[in-house]
Amino acid sequence: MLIIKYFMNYDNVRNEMDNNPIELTCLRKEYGRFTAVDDLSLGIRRNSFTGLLGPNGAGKSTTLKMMTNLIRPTSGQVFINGHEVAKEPKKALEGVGTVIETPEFYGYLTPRETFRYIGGIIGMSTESVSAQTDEILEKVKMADWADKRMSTFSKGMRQRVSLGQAMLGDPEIVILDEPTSGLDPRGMAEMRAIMKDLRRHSGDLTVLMSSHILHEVQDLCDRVAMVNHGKLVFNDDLSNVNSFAGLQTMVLRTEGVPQDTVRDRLRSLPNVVTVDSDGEDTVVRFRGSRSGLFSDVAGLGIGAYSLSEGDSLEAKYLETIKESR
Amino acid sequence: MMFAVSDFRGDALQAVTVARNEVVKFLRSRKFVLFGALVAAMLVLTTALPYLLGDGISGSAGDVFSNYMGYTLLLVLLGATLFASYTIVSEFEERTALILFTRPIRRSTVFVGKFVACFVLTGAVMVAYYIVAVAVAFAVTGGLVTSFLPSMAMCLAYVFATTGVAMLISSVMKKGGTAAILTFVTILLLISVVSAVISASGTDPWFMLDTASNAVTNSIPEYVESSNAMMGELGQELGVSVDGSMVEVADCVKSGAVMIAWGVATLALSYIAFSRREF
Repeated sequence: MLIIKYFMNYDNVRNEMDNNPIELTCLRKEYGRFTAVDDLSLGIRRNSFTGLLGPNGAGKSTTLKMMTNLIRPTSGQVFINGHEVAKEPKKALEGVGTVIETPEFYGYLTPRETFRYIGGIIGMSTESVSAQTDEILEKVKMADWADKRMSTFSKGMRQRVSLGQAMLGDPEIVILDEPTSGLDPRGMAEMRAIMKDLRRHSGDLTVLMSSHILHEVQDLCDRVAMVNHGKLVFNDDLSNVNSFAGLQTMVLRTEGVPQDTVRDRLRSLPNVVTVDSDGEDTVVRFRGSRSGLFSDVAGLGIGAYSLSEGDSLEAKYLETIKESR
Repeated sequence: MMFAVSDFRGDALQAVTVARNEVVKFLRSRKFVLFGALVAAMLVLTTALPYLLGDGISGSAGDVFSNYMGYTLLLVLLGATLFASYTIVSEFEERTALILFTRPIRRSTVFVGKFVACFVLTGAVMVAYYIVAVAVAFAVTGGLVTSFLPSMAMCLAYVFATTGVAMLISSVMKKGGTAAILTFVTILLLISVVSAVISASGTDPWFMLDTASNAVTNSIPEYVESSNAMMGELGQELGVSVDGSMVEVADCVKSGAVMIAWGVATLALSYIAFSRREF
């Protein structure tokens, strides 16, 4: 009986691994008395684009560094395609492209030479590296700079090359750590466009991207995992976040009426669940239709002059982070 | 078994890729230009100065060759300082580890590739230096130097040992500049001070790197002969009696073994430090 149970359990684990190419089990990282990652268990679904969200210091980068063999876990394991990263880094990281923090490139190399170097490391033939290099550099809009040494590149250009090198060899898994961090608005928009394109054109691709930019996650991801104080606090489809508990979010702006009065009157409406202030905005979470809320608000006499759709992910994020404190 | 063989082949190819990149890094850096300029300056000055001073070069091929050997230890030390002391620390300091270490490559493979690059580059420059010295000796005297091979072998053993010391320092330091200074001071001063202390206590420091490295020059009979003659002259000037065989022809096997042991031990420690190092 025990043996049957064991094999059933083994099959479950195998099935999990098949569905989740990245599997973190009870992952923990301590620096002296400080626990950066606290018994984190998480599975990343095959072919998903998962956003790893969390405030600064939540343990996102530490988690990604353990996943990419830059640091070792204090306890627990990271499995990629069934191979434990700490024990079999070479097998685990096969078919994985990464952009961790803002990597610096070898300044004495050109993007083309860098791709040749990385292609050699991941076992690509010279011909296939050459064939892919132009295509990828075109994708990341760096084709004109293919033969210039990278020591003179701006941060945005390095970040684009960085994303390009992660795509070399057609990886099954791409791990991105705040890929738009530190870029100017134009650079951020360009990086997002490249990532969207990557998602659109790659069939069998699992992406895990850490970020604390909520609208970036909303824009790119189909799943969201949230961490705080090194613990997993949420892991679900983005569509479930958007319709979290069947609630919708609207942001209201008013004038001439004190905010306390606005909040009290809004709370008196039958479909309104919560009302919060966020600066000059009032965030309303409610059930039912948006047009219904619009009519109700118009009749409240609270000087409403703007009612716009709120960010459900932001509401969920703030609520989850607040709850997990 | 098939898997193990293909795995080894894959690791070897990756090590070659890493080594090739390291060599490109050094060749395209100012450090290599500086190193090349220093080696060239040594060769030109040793060849031209006797003519400029009006004495010219005289003596046997071995005598002419031994004139060039006085700087070999310094050149090897410079090679270790400029290349090997930066090779590991630079990946962390310049954050390029984020590109390399996140790839399917073992730390041991990266380490081997980096060691091979440092050893081959410094070793190649030193072999070129020996070839030029032998060629000049032949051009001036028309004679062949027969004793250069043991000296060159000792020189390569010294390159191996100093590369190990430099990589050990590179594995534990946070800044490349500090690693370079520490490598230079350690090999030039610290090890010599320890040897002097051991010697002062009455023990022969034959197992120390600086003592063993003397075999690079002391394996050349002409060099030993001229050193003893110089000692004798100095003694006469100072009015002190000096033993005419104070410098002895080196035991290459013993000295070579000591230098290789230093290289193996420091490389092993360096690998342990490197493999445990986190980003």
